[in-house]
Amino acid sequence: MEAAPRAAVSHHVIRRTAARTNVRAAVVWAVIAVYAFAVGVHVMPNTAIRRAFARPANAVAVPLFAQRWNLFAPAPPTANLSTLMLVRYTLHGVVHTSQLVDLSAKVRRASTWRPWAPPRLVRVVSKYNVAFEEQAWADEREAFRHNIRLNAKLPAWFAGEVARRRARNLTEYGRVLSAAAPAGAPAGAAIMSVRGLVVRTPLVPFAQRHSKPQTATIALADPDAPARLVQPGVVGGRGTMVVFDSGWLSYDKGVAEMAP
Amino acid sequence: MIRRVSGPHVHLVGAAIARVLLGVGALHFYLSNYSHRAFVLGPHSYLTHTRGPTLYSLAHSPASFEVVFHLGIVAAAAFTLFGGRPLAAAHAVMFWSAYARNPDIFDGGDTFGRIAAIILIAAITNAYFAPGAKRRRDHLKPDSWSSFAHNGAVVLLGFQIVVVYLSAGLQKATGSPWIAGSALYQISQLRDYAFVHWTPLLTNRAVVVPLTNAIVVLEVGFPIAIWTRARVPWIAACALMHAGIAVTMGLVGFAFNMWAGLAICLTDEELIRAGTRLPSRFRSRAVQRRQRTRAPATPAPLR
Repeated sequence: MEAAPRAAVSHHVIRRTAARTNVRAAVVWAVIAVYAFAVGVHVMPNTAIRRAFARPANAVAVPLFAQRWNLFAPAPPTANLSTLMLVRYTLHGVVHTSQLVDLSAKVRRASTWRPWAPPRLVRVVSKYNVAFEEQAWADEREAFRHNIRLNAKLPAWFAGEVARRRARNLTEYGRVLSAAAPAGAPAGAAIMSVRGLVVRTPLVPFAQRHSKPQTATIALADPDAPARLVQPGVVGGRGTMVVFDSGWLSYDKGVAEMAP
Repeated sequence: MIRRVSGPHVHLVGAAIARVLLGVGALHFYLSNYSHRAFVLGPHSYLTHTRGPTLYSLAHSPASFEVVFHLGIVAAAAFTLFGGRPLAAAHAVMFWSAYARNPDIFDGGDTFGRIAAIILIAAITNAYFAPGAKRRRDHLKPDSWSSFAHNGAVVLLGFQIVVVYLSAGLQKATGSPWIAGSALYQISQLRDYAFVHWTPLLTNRAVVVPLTNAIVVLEVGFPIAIWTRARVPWIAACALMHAGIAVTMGLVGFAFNMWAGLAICLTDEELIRAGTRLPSRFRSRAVQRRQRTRAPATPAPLR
């Protein structure tokens, strides 16, 4: 007599438990599906699918899960980029300009000195080196498109456009140089301004791997030479060139010191 | 499909190992930037903007910045040692804040660590290698919201590591230096990553071509290999690749984070089996107990 209702109850409990399990599984799989769609589209190359779904995918992926996995792909860099810094300071009332300080070499040394816990300063300096090189090539292409000669005086509108595009990077670059400037001036000097040159030194191609790599000879005759987009011939060595010159930037005393 | 996220908790050992490795990776990040913390993350940093909401934007003075930065270290250390969802959330918030303050100093490994830290909030990361792990394992309930969340997090983290390798591998496979086999020679000349001067070794075509192509094959083949019998050796090869990158390119934090992603792809049985092969001083107490309780292999009585 009692067996039938108990069986009915247990059957009911089993069905309810199964339904609950299915609901939970559906919720979890929905989350997984949304994540897979958003991240899948977010990291996809620029194809028609990406263009069609980029907006909803990025709305989910970018705020918390922004990512890019082109680790030395599709091709590793073909050149080393370095920042060379000049510091202008007054000492005992006389204005001096420092020798060129290889800031990139300094931060690289700081990294290799602690190979198991290298500080990320290299990434900071390299970020601006890469950005300025990319911008220099983009500006050069733009100049050719408008038939503007880069080795002559730039038209005001073009110079203004170039300055506007670089404004934020240049402000931050000035702060990076300011943070490192005390290392380029003697103790007791009052630093006035800083200037950075981004130098590109091509790597030795694999086909020429047995040739001896040339060391660039750096010779900046006039520290007040005007800033140009691309200055071939300022730095010696095969293919080595200055791809960016910040010009003199005012020294920012407020930024925390880098001391590479 | 439903079975993958329902039922008992899966990959508990992998989640615990991932927690320890991600925590160590985050500690490595904080400590390697310790001497320059004010310059890269502080209120007087070189950066004039933040990427998103961050606790560092609340730190307007050097003293309050020091508090936030050191809280990040404490959260990462506590997450590494104890695990668990609240500590995973605390670490994820602190690590995200560092990223939002300055994404420039995050390499690929830190990016993976930042994403994995968020996903691991849903996972049970303290069922092994944490104080009270045994008691916690005894109280795990299958088919609860907790188990669904944990198993879902394992699937998400597995998917994420597949995205990393597939995306990186496919992009490499479209680049001529990777196809020609000279990419590693090129990378070895980059001064930003010149921790070991191994360019002369890579001028040898017999060395550089197989090494370069092996990286592409490992990365592109990863999503398929983890569904086959080749899973364990493939994952071991990927782990070895990251060890090589850590030594030659100085990307130590990258290795810790990627090893964490690889650990989550291994089942509990595979990891425990690997644990039994370790010398006894490196074996966890759980593995040693499991070995002790196993029935001794006695010969059958003669009849």
